[in-house]
Amino acid sequence: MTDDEELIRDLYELHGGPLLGFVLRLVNGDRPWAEDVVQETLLRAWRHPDVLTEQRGSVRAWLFTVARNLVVDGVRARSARPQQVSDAALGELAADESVEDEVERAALGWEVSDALADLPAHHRDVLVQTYYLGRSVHEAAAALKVPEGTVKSRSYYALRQLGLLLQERGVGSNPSEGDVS
Amino acid sequence: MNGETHPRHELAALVLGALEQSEAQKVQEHGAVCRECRQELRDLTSLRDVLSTVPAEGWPSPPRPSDVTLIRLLRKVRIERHRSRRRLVASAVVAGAAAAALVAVGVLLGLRDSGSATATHGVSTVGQPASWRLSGTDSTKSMKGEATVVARPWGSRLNLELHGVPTGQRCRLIVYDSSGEKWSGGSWTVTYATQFYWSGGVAIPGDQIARVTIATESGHRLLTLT
Repeated sequence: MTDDEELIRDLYELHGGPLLGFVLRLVNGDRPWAEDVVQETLLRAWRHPDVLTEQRGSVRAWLFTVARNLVVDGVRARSARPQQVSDAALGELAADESVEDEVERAALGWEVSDALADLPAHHRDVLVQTYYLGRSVHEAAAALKVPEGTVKSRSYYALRQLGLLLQERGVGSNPSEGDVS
Repeated sequence: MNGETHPRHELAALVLGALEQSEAQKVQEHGAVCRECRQELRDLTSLRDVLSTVPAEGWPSPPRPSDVTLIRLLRKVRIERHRSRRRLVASAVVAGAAAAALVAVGVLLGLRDSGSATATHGVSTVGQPASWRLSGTDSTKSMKGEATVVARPWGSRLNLELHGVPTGQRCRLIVYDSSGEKWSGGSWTVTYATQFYWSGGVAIPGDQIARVTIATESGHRLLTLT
């Protein structure tokens, strides 16, 4: 494998998934379009490797910004053929939010998503069942075929380990104002 | 509750919104009189809040672009590389530099290497990069570790396996090359006491790595792998 191919593979492995997720949302789930944008974005990163000297968060923000611009260009090009662009996609891009904020927020979300993917499966499953699917301990235990006590203990260790993974990635969680009341 | 003095597990289930109402009430009543649990609840709540930043497409894990995208990318790269000889030379230089930078970033993150490193000692096997193995035990024999160094175009990837390092210990990886120069290999927190894996990289060739030291943040040496 050549250095170029190695770099492309590294970029693809490191950023391909989050980038695809980010773009899918912009193009309202149009997967072929999103894959094209991901391909072009990674190609541009390969052509401009100087951007890769930044820290990971900045690299991802750069990639997201490039991808977003490609989608905007695509929307403009396709707006002559309105049936090809959903109102949702246009609405998303026209949202009253600075590009920088949008990219920063998205980059954080995908960093957390990456960290979730790095959790052991049994920990990730519990967070998915309880938090994302909104299931009770009882329901999650039935779905995962484990005792309820296991769901509770895994909930605790999953959250704690997620915190450590995010710490390693330089992502902090702000102390909450929440309290027992 | 789980019989512990502090119902930490139940607190986690509470912040995730998964506790039945009657049990949630008991936990809250305990929290009302327990300072430690209130702090725990604040910490867990802030972690729960982070989960809300993940877009719907991002759990349980990010989507993965199709292999076709990667194949197309590689093809485009090959075409562009061959289109201009001048470009070929230039891109080889900058891509090498960028890959090293990319890995420096990877070091900060402790990226896991999904590939399997060979355990050959500095000998390239056909179709596989050269690899080296370093190992060591501390003086009390309570901690031991092993590092597999795999040659990469930008330098070396280090796959580290540690045993016995206390959970929660913040570690730094220091790599010494054959001239005695020190290279930082990044830092991480040990999350499992029995066995811990970590991967990172340094921008020096594998055959020039003389030894690897794992130290605490304050510089106390835990293990040396040679």
